[in-house]
Amino acid sequence: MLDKLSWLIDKGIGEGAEYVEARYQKYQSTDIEVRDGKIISATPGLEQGVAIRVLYNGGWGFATTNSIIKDDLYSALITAVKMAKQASFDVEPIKLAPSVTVVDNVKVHVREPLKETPIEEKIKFLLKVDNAAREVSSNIKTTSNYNDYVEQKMICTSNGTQLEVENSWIYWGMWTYAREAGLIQSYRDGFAMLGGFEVTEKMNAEERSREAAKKAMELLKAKPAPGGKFTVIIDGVLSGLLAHEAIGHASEADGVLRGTSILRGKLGTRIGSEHVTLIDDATLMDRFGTEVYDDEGVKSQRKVIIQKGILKGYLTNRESAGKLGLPLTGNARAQDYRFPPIVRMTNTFFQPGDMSFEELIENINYGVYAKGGRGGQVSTAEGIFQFGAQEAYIIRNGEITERLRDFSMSGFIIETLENVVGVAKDFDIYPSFCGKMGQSMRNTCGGPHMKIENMMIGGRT
Amino acid sequence: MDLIEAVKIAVEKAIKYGATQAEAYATKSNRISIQASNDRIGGVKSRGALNEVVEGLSIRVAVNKSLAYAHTTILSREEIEETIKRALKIAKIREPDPDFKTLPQPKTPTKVEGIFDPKIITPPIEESFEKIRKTLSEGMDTDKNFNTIGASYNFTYMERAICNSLGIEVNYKESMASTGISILGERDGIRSFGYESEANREINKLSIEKCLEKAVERTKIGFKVAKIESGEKTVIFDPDALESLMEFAFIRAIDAYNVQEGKSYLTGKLGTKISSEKLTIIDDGTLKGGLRTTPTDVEGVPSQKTIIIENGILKSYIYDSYTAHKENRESTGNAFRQFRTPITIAPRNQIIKGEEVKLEELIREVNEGIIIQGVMGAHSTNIATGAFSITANPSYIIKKGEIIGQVKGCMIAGTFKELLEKYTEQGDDIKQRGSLIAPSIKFEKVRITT
Repeated sequence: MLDKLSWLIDKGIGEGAEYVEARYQKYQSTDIEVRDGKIISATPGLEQGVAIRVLYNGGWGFATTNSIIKDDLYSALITAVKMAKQASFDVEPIKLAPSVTVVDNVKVHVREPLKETPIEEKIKFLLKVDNAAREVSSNIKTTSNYNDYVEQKMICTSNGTQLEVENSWIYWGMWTYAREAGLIQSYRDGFAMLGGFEVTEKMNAEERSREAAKKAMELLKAKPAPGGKFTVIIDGVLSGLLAHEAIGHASEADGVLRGTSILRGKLGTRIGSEHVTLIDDATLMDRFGTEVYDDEGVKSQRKVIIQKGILKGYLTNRESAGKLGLPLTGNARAQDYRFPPIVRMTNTFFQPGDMSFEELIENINYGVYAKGGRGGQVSTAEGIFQFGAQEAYIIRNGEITERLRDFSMSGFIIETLENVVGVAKDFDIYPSFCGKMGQSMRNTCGGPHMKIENMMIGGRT
Repeated sequence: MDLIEAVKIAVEKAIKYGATQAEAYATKSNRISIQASNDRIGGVKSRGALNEVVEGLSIRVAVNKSLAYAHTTILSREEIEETIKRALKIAKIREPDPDFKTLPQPKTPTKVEGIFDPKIITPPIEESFEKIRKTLSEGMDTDKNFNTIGASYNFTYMERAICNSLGIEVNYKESMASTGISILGERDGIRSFGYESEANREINKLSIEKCLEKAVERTKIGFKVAKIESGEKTVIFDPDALESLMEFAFIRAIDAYNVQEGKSYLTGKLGTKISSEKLTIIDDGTLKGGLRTTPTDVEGVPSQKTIIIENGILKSYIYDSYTAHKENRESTGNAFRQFRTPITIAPRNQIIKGEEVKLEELIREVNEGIIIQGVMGAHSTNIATGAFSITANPSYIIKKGEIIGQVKGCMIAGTFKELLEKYTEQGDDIKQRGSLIAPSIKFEKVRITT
């Protein structure tokens, strides 16, 4: 297959393209869904395709095909070239940042290959996890999902880069629903890691499932949250969401280049309090956002985005790094063969500080302690973000008191970072899929407990 | 191999290898997407065109009462046979499912119009780039405070084929075209973001000019920031905002899977009042030119019109054949899937009907309130309770019947049922956004936090 890809690269250059990139991908997936102990579906899938991207006189063209027959590949290449030519009028020339040519072969470490694990084993795992929640109480209902993915990928570029990559990962996620006297509450949890079937043992899934059931039961006793501005303490999962939604996305250099990030022109300036240090690290062992190379063949790495409140860098791809004169960070990632690589985060988190949880909470007369994420969203152009919490409590005179439910937080990126007044020494990390421009990408985000003043809470009272 | 041939072979082979019933579903899509953005600093920042061609086949087999799926993108005889074997293996190890009765029986597909525009096969790429170029430069000239403008076109051609061992054999073509403009500007330190998009089955019905006009208007209003106190106010949802919220707060609640499992706040509410009595919501898979109109659903069940809410009363949920058979009723034709996913339930064209007034009047009658064009955080809605907590962004303040500027960071929390109870009337600016066909909709006394 590598031969076919390099043949395509030569043909593309022959057609007058400045840059050609061909990416082959074949992946096998297993998707299992269980609801209340009953198997709803268990689906094996196989996909194969090639993505071809060319740069011609400043315009990008991209084409995909499921076929790997030479004639079909060639016709996809010609389509990509045609598209790029049509896109290339009166455009600023694109100078891709120079990248090191690499020839390499990388594999995620796997002890029990997913392809050799019988699907019965995978179903058994999910049923056990699903049952654990329902054993907590007969009032619990569940929906549980298991997805695994084994990928073989090859990337060839006209720089001479030739990469062969083998990835393997497992994602498990569930919703628990508690019902009592006409009331229903829900709680979600899950985990994901790179590796083979052995990682199911590291996920602590049954314990998490039982916990999720207990949380759903506890939420039955919670009251709707008040609306307004409060001092809040958020746990590591929520500070991860803040890292990802509020600043992570705004630090992606494609948005900076297009002028749609509020962080444009802010490099080297203060955008947060001294407690704020933000890292994107693609090199963490087994983590769901980890990569060795990105989809442009650039080596993945650890980047400091914010150091003690000062914006230190953006996440880049070759185009944005070239145009903005920034270093390459290896953050160009594509969901699969159907998509071109765009700038994405990997494992993004706030660095822990040195305070204890008690020190964070002790001086709060009236505030909110929020835990667990329910997804978030950001408009990097306006600098506004929103994220949901799963559970929360009123803090009164330094004490955690009554339980709240159904609420989310919203704020302006820079204002919020400036309002971070304390950071604990603990740390939590949570895997998820993030959506951007129609592409879903595996990543993790995390951080310590954080104390933030003047956070807006959307409530019903 | 063409799709109809592939699905027929798949069903035939599945039965041969031991399935008691079998169904195959195949799709081929060809999407051309073009985009460009302009920047006041340095001119055109990026231009690109993308052609995504994807085909795939999914097989569903039943061995007595055990169902299983498998899918592939390799449409050769050998790989189709391998895929069938993978599905059969799973069906044989699964516990039988007593709720599974049968795959759907064949029925005549509904005659629908306006879902395929032959122009989609060779879409006007050059012409569209030319329009984008013109729109970007005109847009920039409109206001010196505009910094960046993005423009795009999408053209999707789709073929589907469905076949089952009971005799269903359906195939059809669809077209989908869309365009959109987004503008980001800054004046006196206030950032404003305005956008507008359109989607249509017919390419010629798109107007990038109209999108520009609307996006310019919204961006300009946004340069003024106004203040509004927290409290119970009149809230008007633009269809863009309502569609995002409804997807998570309503559509999932009428999904028969969630209802039957008791995971929806609408479980057990059939025949009861769940909204203002002025409101009627219809799920219509047959509407001429509708974005969710097709002759059948993905199981080959004919498309139909289903009344969901009639004058405030919940009349029906939406079903596929599995959930319908569980209640000994007929499917409503709402089965949905991509070849890579099992069957789920999805809405068709969801039409909101109620008390209609002119849009200008709808706004003019508001003493104090907001008009919401987008929402953030709808996906965190708790479907078990219908409780949501969202940020209304972008949204604009109305005072004494006039839109006076944008409000930053306004939040709304409540349950979707409460919101439906607060419905009063709607405008005449009907648009289709995703599955929703609705105009701007007014709700009274909605609690907002600013």
